[in-house]
Amino acid sequence: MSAITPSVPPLQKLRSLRSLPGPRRVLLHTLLIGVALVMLYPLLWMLSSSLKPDTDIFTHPGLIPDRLHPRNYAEGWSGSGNSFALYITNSLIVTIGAVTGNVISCSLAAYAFARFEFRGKRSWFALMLATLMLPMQATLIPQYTIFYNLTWINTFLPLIVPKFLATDAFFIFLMVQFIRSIPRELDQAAMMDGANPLQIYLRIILPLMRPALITTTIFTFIWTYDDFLGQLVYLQQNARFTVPLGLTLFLDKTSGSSYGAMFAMSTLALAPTLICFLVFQKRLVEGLATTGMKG
Amino acid sequence: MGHRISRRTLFRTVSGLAAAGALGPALTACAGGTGAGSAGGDLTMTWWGSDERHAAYKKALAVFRKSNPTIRIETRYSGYDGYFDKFNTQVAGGSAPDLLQMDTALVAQYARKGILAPLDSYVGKSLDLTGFSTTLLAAGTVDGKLYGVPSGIGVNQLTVNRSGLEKLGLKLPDREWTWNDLKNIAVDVHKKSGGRIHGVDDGGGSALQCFEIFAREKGQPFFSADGTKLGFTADTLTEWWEFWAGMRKDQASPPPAITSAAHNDLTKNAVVIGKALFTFDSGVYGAGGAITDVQLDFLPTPQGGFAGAREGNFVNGGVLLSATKASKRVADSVKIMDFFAQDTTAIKDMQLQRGIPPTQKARSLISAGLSETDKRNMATADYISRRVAKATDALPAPVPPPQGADRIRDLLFQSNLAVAFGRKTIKAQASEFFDQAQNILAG
Amino acid sequence: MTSAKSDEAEGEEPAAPAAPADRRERARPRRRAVGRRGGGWWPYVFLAPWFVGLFGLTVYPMLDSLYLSFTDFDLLTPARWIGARNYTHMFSDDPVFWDSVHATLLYVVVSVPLKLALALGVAILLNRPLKGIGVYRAAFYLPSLLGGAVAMAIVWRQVFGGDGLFNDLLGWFGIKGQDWISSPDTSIYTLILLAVWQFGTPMVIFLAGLKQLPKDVYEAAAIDGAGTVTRFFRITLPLLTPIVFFNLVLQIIDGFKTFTPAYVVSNGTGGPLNSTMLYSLYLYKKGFTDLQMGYASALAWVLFLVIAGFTAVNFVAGRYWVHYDD
Repeated sequence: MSAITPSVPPLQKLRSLRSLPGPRRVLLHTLLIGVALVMLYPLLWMLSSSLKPDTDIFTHPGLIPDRLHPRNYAEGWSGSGNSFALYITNSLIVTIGAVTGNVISCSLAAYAFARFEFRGKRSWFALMLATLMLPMQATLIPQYTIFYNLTWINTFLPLIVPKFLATDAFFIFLMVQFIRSIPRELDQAAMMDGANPLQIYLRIILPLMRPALITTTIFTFIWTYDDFLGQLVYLQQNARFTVPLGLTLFLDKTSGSSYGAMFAMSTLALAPTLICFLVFQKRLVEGLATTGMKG
Repeated sequence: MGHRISRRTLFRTVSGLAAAGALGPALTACAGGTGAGSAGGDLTMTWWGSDERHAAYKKALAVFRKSNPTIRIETRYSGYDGYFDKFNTQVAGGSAPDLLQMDTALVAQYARKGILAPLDSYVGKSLDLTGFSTTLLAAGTVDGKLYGVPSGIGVNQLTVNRSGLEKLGLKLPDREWTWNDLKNIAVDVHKKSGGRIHGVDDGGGSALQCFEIFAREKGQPFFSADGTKLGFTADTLTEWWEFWAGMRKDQASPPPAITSAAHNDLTKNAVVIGKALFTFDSGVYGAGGAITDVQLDFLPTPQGGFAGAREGNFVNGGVLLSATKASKRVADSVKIMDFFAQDTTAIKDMQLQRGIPPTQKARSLISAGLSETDKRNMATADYISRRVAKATDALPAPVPPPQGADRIRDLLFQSNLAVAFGRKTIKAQASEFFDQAQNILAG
Repeated sequence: MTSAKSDEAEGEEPAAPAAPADRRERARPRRRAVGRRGGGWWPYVFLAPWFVGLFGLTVYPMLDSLYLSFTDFDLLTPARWIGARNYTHMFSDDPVFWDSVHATLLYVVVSVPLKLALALGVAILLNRPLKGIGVYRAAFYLPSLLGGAVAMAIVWRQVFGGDGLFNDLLGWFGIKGQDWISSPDTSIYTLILLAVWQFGTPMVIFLAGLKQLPKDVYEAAAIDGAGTVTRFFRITLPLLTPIVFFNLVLQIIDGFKTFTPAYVVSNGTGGPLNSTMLYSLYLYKKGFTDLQMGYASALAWVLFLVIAGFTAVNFVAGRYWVHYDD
């Protein structure tokens, strides 16, 4: 580890070198705030709608509510039979399972692809990429049959186990790209010291690819949390519903919808992903300290 | 099913995949049927609907459980979106529910594919359908057999923003009105509102609520009795589109952008966003889930003003309850259907959640607890169904739509839009419509 | 720019002759390492979970769908072999197929470069020690957190509707707007804008990549007096090419497969007049709504081949502009 920890002085030098002079910093802030506001307007509208009575949301679509109706949150939260807390809990179970699976299995596979030569490597790699290219809708039915025969329908297993089997080729590819930019000299040095490949993976590759692991964590978390089709098909009992499925309970175009409650819970449901992002993006910054030095 | 399994097993062997091969025994084990609800376990029942409908179903089922403690029911519910996608996946994967809420638009398709259980042998025994009219039961009848019990009477009504009409100093038209009357009042709305509001949303592409009735007034059904052909002529369709082209030209109906935005999206409906006072979309008045605070009223779809015009309205069946054929619990499912059809507490619990109740007995049971708007809606429905029952010149109730009906309705909508956007002439679009519709029906 | 170019030439001059020698020198130990690492069973240990997943959960469903693409399969009754009829129908007799091809190509070609450029630009802006940087990052990432939620779709239809915010903005500049979502000429661009708006994914990947850049090179450049623009084109961009490449490949694949935004924003219709009928949406409608899973599988395999073609071209072209450190 000590070999790759950067010495402090260059980093400080870098900071001073990069901080901008006053007027330009103000300009930058203005630009960023301006873009951020445009980006966030639709979300503000959602927030505002979550505080309006159903009858006002589409008839008075302005950003400032005429009448406040915070009860949407209470009504959405208690839901019909199941509390929304249950859906969030279920979502977190699925999501955390998926993140763990992806981080472990994809980094193992990526390490093999990036650092080893083996028979047919190029073909295997091409096959791995190919699995990214077939739309999920086409393989949904055959996959459903497999999980049905494993009697996994109505459990979280079809949503978690595949992640432990590195089926998300996206992340393998991502990590391969990152590992390839880690200098080989580092693992060669470790090998000279007698480390075996597993030790190199644990002691050198994993710490050095932390930005990629964090990226994987953030994306897996958010994508799993937002996934609709897979959860729709595999989770059938209402007690197993996750957030995206719970939200559909508010909307039914044939017999009436509770838009206010839906917006309220959609807003609330952003919290776990937002927290995940805030926590991990900070680590992304810290990643600077570990991987700052190289070569 | 057996065939499909053997195909899969064969395919596995050919592809020689170790992991897949390991699943072989499990597959053979389930080859007996689609495996819906094992005989011993819970009976699974699914439906779609709003929060209120979920609550009503659950309340009623709790009562059912008390009197039938041996039948354990597992309920699964969601909104309409994705409901049938999930059902299809379940059927394909061999895990369909035992009892499900079925769409009248889809019942023929599933019945003909052998997915649903015929119920005729139970009728009059464990399934009491006293008070259900034959025209109503037609909604669940496919090729002479009953596959679903209707939950209510569905009739097509125009939804009217009554307060908006009064604000312009206009009166609600009489229930006995014609397409020309509709045009006149729609033009008036546009004039009196200073051009801010169009009269009625564009019905040119609205099959169920609108065009089907117009065609029936001309003595032409939407689909032929055997469901293999369109029942109306190109002339009828051309005349229809010309009527709406005139409506758009007079600003009595909104431009296509508004029509297109409202497609499958109630929140953009012309009445909801205040761009029209009349709409053919019954969803604007949803049971308990109104998204506009204006006062609503209801009218029958207009009648033909021409000589020899027939009664075009018809009575449909709300939603259906159907059992799956592969289920080993059909008899138990029928008990539940019977419970929802006749039991006093069930009827009271369901209120208007599955449409206006199908029998006179049920309607009188719930009428006390209804809101003003609900009462108006039920009164108009009553009026229409009585008029239909009395009419001697009306065509028989429409057959359950054949497979592909959804696509044809969508085609009608898209075609009207193409005309309205000026992409196609009415004549060219009509002939294209017939070509494509025939293709769809031919499979 | 001229100075940047001459800088570059000067900078590379001494490095160029050294490179081959250096490479030769490094080749020997590497080959030894390769020998040791390649011969063993280690890679297979690391790949074991992936192999299980590949064959158990991915390859079999893929081959099954390939088989189904030659059948008439309605999900509810057994599949029936019909040879290549699905494929011939697609190319000769299905106008909606061509609508969807048109919409998808337009979508990919316009949205991918815009999204990547914006993501890279913002990532570079955000990759500096600035007060409140975390808040900015979150703000730019928030739209992507929403994914394809129903709420997002309703909001989007509101913003670009006839009386939406976008028209209000245009109104300030005296431009009379229209209903962008429901006009067949503009609706696809609202989807493109949605894709660009949700640029968070490539942005985070760029950020992670920027974090991994060697800082000593920057320092050397700063000492040489290279300006911001020079630094970007001479150092950042070349070093970042593996990440740019990754994002490009994945965004193109993703672009072709885009389903949820089109599905939710058009309320599952792909309208108006099929203008937002992205390919995967059409495939989904065919398979699950029209119950033509055989045809949908054929559509999937055509898409698969198209994406594979694009990706292959990308990889071949990548040899000329992507720089790896190994």
